[in-house]
Amino acid sequence: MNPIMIAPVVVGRDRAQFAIRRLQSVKWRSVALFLSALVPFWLLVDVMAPQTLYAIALLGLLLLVYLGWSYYVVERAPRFRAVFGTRGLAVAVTCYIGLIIWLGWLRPSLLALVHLGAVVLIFVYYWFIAFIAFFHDQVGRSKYAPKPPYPQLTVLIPAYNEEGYVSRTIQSLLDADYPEDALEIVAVDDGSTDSTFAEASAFAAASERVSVVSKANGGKYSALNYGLLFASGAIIVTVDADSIVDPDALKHIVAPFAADEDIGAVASNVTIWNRDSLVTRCQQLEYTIGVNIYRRALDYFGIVMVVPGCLGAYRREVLSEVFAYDPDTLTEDFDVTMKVLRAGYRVSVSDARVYTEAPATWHDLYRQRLRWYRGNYMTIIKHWSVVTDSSYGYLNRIALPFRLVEMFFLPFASFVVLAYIAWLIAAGHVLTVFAVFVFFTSIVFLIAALGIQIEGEDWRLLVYAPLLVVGYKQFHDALNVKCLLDVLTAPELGWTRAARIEQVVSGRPDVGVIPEPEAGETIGAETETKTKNETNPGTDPDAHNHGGD
Amino acid sequence: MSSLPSTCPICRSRTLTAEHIDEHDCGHVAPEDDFADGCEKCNQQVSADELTRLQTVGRCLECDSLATDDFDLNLDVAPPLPTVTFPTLPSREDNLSWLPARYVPESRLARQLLSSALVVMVLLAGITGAISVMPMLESEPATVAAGEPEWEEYDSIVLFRNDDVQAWYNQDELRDVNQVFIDEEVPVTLGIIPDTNGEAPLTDDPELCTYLQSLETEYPGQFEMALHGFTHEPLTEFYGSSEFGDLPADEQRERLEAGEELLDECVHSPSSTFIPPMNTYDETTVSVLEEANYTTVSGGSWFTDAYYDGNESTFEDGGLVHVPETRAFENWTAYEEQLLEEDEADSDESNESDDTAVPFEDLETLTDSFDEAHAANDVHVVMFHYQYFTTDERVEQLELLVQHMKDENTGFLTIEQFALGVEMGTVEQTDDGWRVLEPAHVAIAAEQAEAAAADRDNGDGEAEQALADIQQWVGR
Repeated sequence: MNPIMIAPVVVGRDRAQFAIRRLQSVKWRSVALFLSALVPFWLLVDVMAPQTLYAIALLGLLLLVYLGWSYYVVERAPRFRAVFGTRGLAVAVTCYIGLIIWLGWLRPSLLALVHLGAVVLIFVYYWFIAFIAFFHDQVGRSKYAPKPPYPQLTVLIPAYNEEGYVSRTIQSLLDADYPEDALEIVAVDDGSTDSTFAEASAFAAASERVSVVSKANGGKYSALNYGLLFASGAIIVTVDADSIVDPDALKHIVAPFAADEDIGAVASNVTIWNRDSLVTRCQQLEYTIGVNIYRRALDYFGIVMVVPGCLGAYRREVLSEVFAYDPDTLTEDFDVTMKVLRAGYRVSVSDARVYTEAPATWHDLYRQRLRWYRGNYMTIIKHWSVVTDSSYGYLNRIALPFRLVEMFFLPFASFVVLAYIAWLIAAGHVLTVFAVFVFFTSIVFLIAALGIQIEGEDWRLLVYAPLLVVGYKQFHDALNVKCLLDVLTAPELGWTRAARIEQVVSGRPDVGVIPEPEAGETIGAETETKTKNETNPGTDPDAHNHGGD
Repeated sequence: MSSLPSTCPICRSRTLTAEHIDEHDCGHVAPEDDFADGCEKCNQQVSADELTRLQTVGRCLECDSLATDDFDLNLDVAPPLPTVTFPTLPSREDNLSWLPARYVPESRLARQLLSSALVVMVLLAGITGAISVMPMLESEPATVAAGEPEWEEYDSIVLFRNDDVQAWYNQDELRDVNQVFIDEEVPVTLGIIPDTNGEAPLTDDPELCTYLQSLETEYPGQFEMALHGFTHEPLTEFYGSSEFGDLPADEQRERLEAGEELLDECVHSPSSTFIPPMNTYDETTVSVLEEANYTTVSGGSWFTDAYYDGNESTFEDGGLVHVPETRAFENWTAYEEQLLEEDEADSDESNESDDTAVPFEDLETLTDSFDEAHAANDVHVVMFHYQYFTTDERVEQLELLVQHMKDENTGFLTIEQFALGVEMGTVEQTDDGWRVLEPAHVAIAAEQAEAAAADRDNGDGEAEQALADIQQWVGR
């Protein structure tokens, strides 16, 4: 028979087989959860006033046009990159607000605006996060599979008073599945006053691969910069001295470098291991649905904004090019990632997993987040030019606008909403408030379930979903507002040396004696013997704003 | 601080020189010598007080590597390796690990089934949660909006008019019919006869008055108390029959005032709508009503079409808004035919008119009529008489009609809310229907308060009078 005649049949059969294979590879549980999350949204659409729907649809359209245009100018037509950028978006959104007020779709009041903003953000964030998570899960977890040859690697472990912790970190690195001759571990003792140095030195004495260097106390950034002088690897991996690295983590974290020359830094997935209290379980749920998945979304554009200090990797020459770490923010991991991104490199995420010990009390969490959020605001303000300079591509067009909304609008909106809810309760609409709470909890619950299914997390975490709507969320919003005010009202304190702003807080009587005035990064832990979780796990954990609003 | 080894750990050379590692204020860390020509990072000249000494290490002259003696410890007395214990780390693969082992099935398939069942449970729990509170959320806009009116857009407007509310008469049916409107949260205008046939003054039936007042307080804005003539007797043959049409102005005025007096006593706030009995009225009626501060008159469209020679569903004339009924629930043509037949039969039997005998239009006719008005973005005014809703089936027919209408994007108002709303701008006709500032009664009250305040501000010395006028206007 004429082969030309057979071809379509064969192609058809192949297609059918291909389609069947595709169907078999679909992860149906995720599909079910993803689709089920549509139900509450659909119900919400049903009760919303048509004007609100039009307003949302119009803003959705505006954002889609913006995203589409951004893709076009970044990928295809850089000559237009200054056209309809972040400023254009700001103008467009302002015009949009004017238009919907003029059309009568929105009452000209702060409450109405926040209400609309909240609804839109619920749509955008949850759909963004849920969709990307879902998509990631369906198409395969990571683009980068680890394969030899593995590059020369230097792991830097900055440590200040990490007695009892640093040995575990070093041991987990020695246990890691990575070619022995390609791995070098440098522990940097940042002038510890306990036996951190001796503990690490024992490993140095026992293993050729481990070395310990010590210096006068100066903060984490300083320890990392100092450690770099002794690093010989082409890839620099930084690990917090209280983190436990997964055996596969090193292989996974170097994989993207081999695959793409433009990648300057690679982030990891942070998992909390001490899930024995309400506070830590809330944090794990926060990481699961907010941080880890949200970061995967930005990964598509190569603009992951934070390489967590718990575990992150950089090309040596890229770190040198940006002069490594700066002293002027409290979140050196976010800061250095911004510097790498601004130097034009992509920052990607890998499947490398690191276990960290989360603050186990509200007070510890408060202190940790105080530093993170202040650091976040300081870093954003430091890199403000990225907001206005269109040459930064996706970073300028996508990552920063989202981030600014998260950091500058949402925490305040949360309180307008809270005041509105208080008013509703005072006016006797308790049932309505209850209904709204149950409704948004349902949404968060289903999204969390999707995140848990995808990340292979513990289903019991779902119990804490209501706290992400009320309680835990407001705690973070309040902290964000406080930190923003702190940073804005005391710039001279924060700007010269990171340590200073911490000192202002740490100077309170309950904080204890500050051993080293310069120890910006480690002061948070001076009352304890270790520096815990001093690094940002990734995207601002506040990224997932949910629907208590 | 010094960390100077005796031999290079890389090449074992003994030719080492001391090197100071400094940190500049900008954060740059480098050997001291590198700062001689300024800081490479910040391009500034560097003075000694800007540098912080971090450490002194060795520089191998042979291989140029930096060396510290930190790890070059005396191996003979090497410290013992600390015992490292790892905490139990959460496993990402086995997410059933938290279940007691005896509940976890051994086979992979069974485990997968269990996981799937878990997902289904979670999914159902989430959806159930959302669905279960939905009814509360649906009623929320009305409750919440009570504070601040919001614009709603509709394709059409429906007004219900329940005529012939009167003392002593079929009170159970009245309650049944009103309950439909309460359940469906749809407003309705009650046409109240103050003194049926001059024999049944409202005030003689305190139970009815108390009931009507309870409707006003418990369901604000939902029940309009409109005057439906005085005695509801066909006094003239104006357009068939009329209580007002063709009567001299004085007589009309007297009847109106007498009716008002009784209604005022019976309900809290009589409306500014007048519903002429038999749906007929003349220009004299309109001017008498206008004098008495009425805003709206609601007759029948068959009558207004003929008398005013037009076919607008609502219109303004003589200072009043005319909102005639456009659809009768009862089939009066069939009823007349029925009566004729009975007359022809010339039966000797008692021919007492039986209320249930008034046939209703069938549901389809009623819904079709609404659909037509809805498609034309029109105002659809449904008139019915509660006394004929004597069976469950008849009440259900009304319910079904209301539900049919509610399935469409239609706005429900009382006749007064519609007429006043149009006048005050809280009800507007748009290119493709209507927009209504809701809740209508709150929006109208707000407008009126604003108008009153504006009048006060005008300081014309007659502010009190203006306010009184408005109150009367509202109160009507």
